[in-house]
Amino acid sequence: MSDKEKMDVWQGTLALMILKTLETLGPLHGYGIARRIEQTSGDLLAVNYGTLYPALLKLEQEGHIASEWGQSDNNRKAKFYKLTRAGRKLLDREERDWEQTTAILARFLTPGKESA
Amino acid sequence: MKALHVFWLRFANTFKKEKSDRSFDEELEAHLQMHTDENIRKGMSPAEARRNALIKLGGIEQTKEIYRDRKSLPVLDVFVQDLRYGVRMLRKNPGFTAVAVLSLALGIGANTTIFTVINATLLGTLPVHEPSRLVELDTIDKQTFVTSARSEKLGMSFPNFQDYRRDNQVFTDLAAFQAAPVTWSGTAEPREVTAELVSANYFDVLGIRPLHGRFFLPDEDTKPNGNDVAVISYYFWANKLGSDPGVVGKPLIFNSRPYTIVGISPRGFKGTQTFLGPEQVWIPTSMKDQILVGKEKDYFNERRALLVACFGRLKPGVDLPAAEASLKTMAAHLESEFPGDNRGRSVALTPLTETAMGANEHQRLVLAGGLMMGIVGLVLLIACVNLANLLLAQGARRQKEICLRAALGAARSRIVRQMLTESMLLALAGGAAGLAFAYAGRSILWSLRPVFVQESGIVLSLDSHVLLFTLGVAILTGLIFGLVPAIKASRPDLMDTLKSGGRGGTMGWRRDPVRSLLVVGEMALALVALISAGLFLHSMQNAQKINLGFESKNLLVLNFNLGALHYDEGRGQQFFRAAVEHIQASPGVASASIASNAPFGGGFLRTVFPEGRDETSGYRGTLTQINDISPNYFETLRIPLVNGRTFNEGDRKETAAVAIVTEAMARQQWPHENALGKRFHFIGDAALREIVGIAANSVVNEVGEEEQPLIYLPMTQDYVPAATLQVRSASDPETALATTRAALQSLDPNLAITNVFTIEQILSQALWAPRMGGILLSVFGALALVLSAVGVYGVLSYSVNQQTREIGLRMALGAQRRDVLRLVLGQGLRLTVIGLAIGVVVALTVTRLLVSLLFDVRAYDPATYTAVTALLTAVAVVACYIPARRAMRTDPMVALRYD
Repeated sequence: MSDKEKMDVWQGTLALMILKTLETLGPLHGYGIARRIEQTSGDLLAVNYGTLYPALLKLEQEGHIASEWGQSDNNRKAKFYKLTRAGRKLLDREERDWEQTTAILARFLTPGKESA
Repeated sequence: MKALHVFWLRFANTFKKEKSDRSFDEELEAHLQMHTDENIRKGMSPAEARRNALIKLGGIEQTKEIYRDRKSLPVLDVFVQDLRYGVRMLRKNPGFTAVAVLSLALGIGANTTIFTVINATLLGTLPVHEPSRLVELDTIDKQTFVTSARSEKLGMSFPNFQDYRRDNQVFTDLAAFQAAPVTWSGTAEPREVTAELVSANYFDVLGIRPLHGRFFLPDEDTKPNGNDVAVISYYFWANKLGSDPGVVGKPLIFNSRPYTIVGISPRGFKGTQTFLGPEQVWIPTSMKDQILVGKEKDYFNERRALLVACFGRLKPGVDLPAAEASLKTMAAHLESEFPGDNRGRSVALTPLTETAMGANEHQRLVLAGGLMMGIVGLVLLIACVNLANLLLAQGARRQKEICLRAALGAARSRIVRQMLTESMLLALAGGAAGLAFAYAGRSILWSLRPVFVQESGIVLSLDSHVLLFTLGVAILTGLIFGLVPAIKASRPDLMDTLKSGGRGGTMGWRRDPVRSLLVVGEMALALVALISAGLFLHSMQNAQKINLGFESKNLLVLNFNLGALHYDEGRGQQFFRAAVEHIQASPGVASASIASNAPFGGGFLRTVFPEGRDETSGYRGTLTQINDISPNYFETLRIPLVNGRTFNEGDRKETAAVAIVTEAMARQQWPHENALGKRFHFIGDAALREIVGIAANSVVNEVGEEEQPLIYLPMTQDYVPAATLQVRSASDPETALATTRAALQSLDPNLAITNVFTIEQILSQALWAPRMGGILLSVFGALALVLSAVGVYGVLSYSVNQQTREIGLRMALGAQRRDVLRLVLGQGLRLTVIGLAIGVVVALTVTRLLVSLLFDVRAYDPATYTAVTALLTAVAVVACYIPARRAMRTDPMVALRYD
């Protein structure tokens, strides 16, 4: 698998992870999102935190998240992202799609359970 | 929608990059801080904590790069960069930029000027519903011989129109109209306005709605002399009636009879004929006896008299060829049903939009427009070639810069794009300046337009079509002259250039095919342009040298229409006699005469059968123009009588019918005999007319026409109420005008006197188009010559400069100056000869297409070809000689040390 392909896979699912994180934790800064994704995935997704930011920008440009500057827990100035209504809708849709996809794949990948 | 929104955000961000960069820097910094803080809390040392945070974040610059590309539009970014760089390059070379923009501006300006004219005349669409579905129906006659040029499409007879309208399967409806001047009285002085007798459905077929009031009701053309209603054009209403909304329902007096104004046509609608002018009145055909006079009135309902114009709207799904096929079948039926009138006749269809200046003229006008466009196109192409060459030279000079960029990793496409951006900048600047030239050119052309164009309501505007055209031409131009140099410059031989320091080594001709091609191309283009221009200048000179056949000095003509005042023939003949007597008695008048048509006025066409060859033999006669004249017509116009006698007071209704014919007519009908004493008859007349005189040929329709067969009839035997008066004054015709007017008005104060011109004025109007064409062609030809001379000189002198080292080497090895001269001249002339040869072949092909526009000049006129070829060869010799002389003076030592 080339670097480019790995990146694409990551980009596709990364957006979903970002949206889900924001839904679960509410408004959060980039660092927080990165930490959360890393923790949740166990260290399976050990990717540079930097790649998160272009994905955040894309989501913001598309209107799925919004950002504003605020104060972090330990009083640092940070940019906070939150879900917009469009983002919530997208998340719902993506979650459904994802479940469907995995369900279908699961059937393929688990032989024996195939229905005749 | 979302994609558009994102695009817009990124587009906007492209222009506030610094701010957004700073914002992202802060965000990343905050990220690092928080990570560092946490690492410290976990027990790392501050330095280690920061390092770890940086590692986890990944390549910061890479992230920033991706972020920036995502934030803005990189393509646009590069473009803005190229643009800035391009502007800087052009400003650094003001001389080059000025020459480039100027030559482009001349080329584009010439193109835009010509396009403005074409746009206003040939491309103007009718402001009606779906004009492309409207077609004109014309009669074509395969058997009757027609003597006047360009009259294949002959109009329609009213009865045939009615049959086609009733029985056809292909039109939603057919309408007919016939233009006629009417006298509008009720104001201080009676005036002539253009009326069109129309079928009541005229406006419905066009599919327009009235501005005020209504158009005609479906049956409003059915009561002979009883439908006294009229629709007036917006322009008549606005210019003559002061836009008074109260006129609808009120009467206006036309030809001494009141017509109720029922409606006003919408603004922008000027009828379907360009030269009838925008101020018009439409009256139902049932009023034809009130509006038409003379033969047009008498013959209106004759099936063989082709007096009306007819157009229809194609049914949905029917195309023009299908409709034509269907109508030709109908025409065949009409032919067998009415063989006496329709034998040999069929029908032809023309899109109505092509008939605005006459169905028969359209092709010639398109050809003339195409010729003009072609020549200015060639001028622009020559300018392009020059620029391509300049850019090539510049590219060579910039090779070091380009190599450096390529060596630093710039992709080839990136370099091509950069170079093209510069060309586009030049082209657009040239386009903008060209628009300014075109504006000036249009103003000059427009200020010189003759009366008939002024009255036609043609507007020569730089509208959106023209602006788009200019933009398109500019962009195309930029591509044409920019692409080759850009590609060539982007493909430098890296090692070679870096080694020789960007200066040419031995640049033989074989090693520089692009530049050689430019010389060949330039010569070929210039030759084609100059030969086309030369042929037409030659042709126009011929046309203007034409003997008019009468004396044009001190001759005044005017029109009046006794039919509009409902004179009967007795009163009319009396009026004619009295008018001639009165005016001839006035001081300053040498002679005066009456005729149905003045020179350039054409004449009513009638079918002629010489004695012994009548309809029964199957012969369909010759359609010939006639002119009804008073006895002193030849004396007043000073047209020589070749044989026989003129008319006199003895030629009356009761005496033998007589005629005088032109020499051309005599030659045509009785080629090897003496026409004097021969007899003929007109279709429908039983009586034979005897030819009592033969007159010299003179102009009938237009300057430059072939000698026209024409029949003169005595006005006393063939009365025409709409007449022209010719006055030969002893001195200035203007002084005779006042006395002439007074004399006519003393005979009848209600008479509208119209179209008062001296023949010289008419002549200069008639020659306006060819003269303007001549001036434009001279200007464009000169432009082509100068541009190509400069271009060829530029290419050759550049090449010689590149060869300095080689020449120095040759001279150091013992070559004589003569040898150097021969070398350089030989190289230049070889290309010139190839270019000229190609040009001659192309010109021979192209000019053959234009042969119908040429007057008395053959398309392969050897004089023009020789002159143009010699001129261009001379230009090339001079362009080669100057750099060659410089080359042979080269000091071998200097040349060798040059590097």
